[in-house]
Amino acid sequence: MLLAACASQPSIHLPVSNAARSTFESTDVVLPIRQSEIYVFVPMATAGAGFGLVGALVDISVDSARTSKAETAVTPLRNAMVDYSFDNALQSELKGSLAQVAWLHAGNFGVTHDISNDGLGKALAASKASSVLFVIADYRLSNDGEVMYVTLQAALMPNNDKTRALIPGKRDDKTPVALVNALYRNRFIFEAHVSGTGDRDKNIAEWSANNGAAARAALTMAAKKLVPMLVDDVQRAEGDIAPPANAAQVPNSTPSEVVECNIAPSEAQCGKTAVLLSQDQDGQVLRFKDGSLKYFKTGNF
Amino acid sequence: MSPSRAAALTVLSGLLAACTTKPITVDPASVPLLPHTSDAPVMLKPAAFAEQPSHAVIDAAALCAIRLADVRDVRPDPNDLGMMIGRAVHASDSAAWFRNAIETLKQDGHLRFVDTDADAQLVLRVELVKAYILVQNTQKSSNVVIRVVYSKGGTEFDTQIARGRDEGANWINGEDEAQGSLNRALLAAVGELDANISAHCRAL
Repeated sequence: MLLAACASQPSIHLPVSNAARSTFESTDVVLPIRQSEIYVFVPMATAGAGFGLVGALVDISVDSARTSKAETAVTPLRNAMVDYSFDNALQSELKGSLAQVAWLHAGNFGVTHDISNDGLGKALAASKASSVLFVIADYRLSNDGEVMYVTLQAALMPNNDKTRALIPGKRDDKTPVALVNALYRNRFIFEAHVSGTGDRDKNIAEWSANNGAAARAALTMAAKKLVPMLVDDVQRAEGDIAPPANAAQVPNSTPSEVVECNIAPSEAQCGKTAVLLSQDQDGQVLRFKDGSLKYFKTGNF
Repeated sequence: MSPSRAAALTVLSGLLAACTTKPITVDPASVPLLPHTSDAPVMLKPAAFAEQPSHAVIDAAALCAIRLADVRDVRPDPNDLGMMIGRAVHASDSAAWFRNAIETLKQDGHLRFVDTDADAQLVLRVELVKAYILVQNTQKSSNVVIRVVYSKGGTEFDTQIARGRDEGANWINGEDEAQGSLNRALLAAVGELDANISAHCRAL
């Protein structure tokens, strides 16, 4: 998947260098969002581990049953939100907020559902701007339906010789959108809850009630909270990669689905503690030791 | 992960297409017509008409007269049909893909399609609002959502959505799998749409 995390994992957070800030002539903003609707995260079955091919087939069958149940459970919420577009909400926030970063010269904005490296590579090649800011978004409910997670992976990709010369470290010429080629990158998480009942269908019913009012509010809030965090972070000082090691920490909630932390390993997703950067009437901004950031909505929707 | 499980998953996902990233293109003509083995009308949802006589004695004048005023794909990126693992899925012509599926409504022996609003008991505006495939773990799932706006005597009086779904194992992340899954979801949505239309006809 995008900005492909394959071979060696680059650091989660990379601030924009001072040298780069005076180099950007124009920046296109592309939002790769692979999904068209919200989904329920389904942990991968592992019970068949150790039983070879048969075990793997058993796991596939378990996955099948779980996925089918999850799809059935989330359908009322999807139906309640057919007319809601998170793509538009996020794009609108980005358009409004990135104008504050004068040196970025943000210009054209677009959404794509093709998040393959090839697709993003084409988007990069098609852009005439000196750089392209990719903001890959994902939104979903936890397996038990209680928690809404929105994830943004931001990566500012160079798109001409002048900006490519600023790539720190070894660059990946084969995959132009590889994260190691980014001049800036970070990950942002939004987390919000409904009052958990321990029952997925009931939890999803809370998100779905009144034409999906809680889910709509949560997704709109996610866009409104995360985008300013991104805008602040992209302007963060060059050396400010992570909070000081001795900074006071507050606890962070982590997903109940441990397996999730195996496939999405940033501290904002799975870290147990973080620095409390700020708080407002809705929740807290947390910064983690890898530089990733989270908005935690306090209270329930 | 144990070696035996790793080997097993290697076999399975070896199949996962040597990790091809070639985009998948769905052929608009791939929507299968429902089985239609005789000249007799086919009932898409027989249960909805269980109280009615068999198709052999249906009076044409008693059929519900429908006009399809508009059949459109209204999605922002019409040919986009989602993602398999690392492979974008597109339709070469999503409007044609959608229209071909809507054409299967004409196999419902209880509906009669007419060309003018004046001849119609119900005028329908049908829109494709969602169509995508998504993969999680070893599974793929497709969703197709159709919105229909009902009019009668020049006045819109109802809007409904019909959703079709298809889920199953993502065996080889292949083109036929994607196409088959999306087609099944599309036809399921059309089946639900047909049931909705039938219910409106009965309420006339």
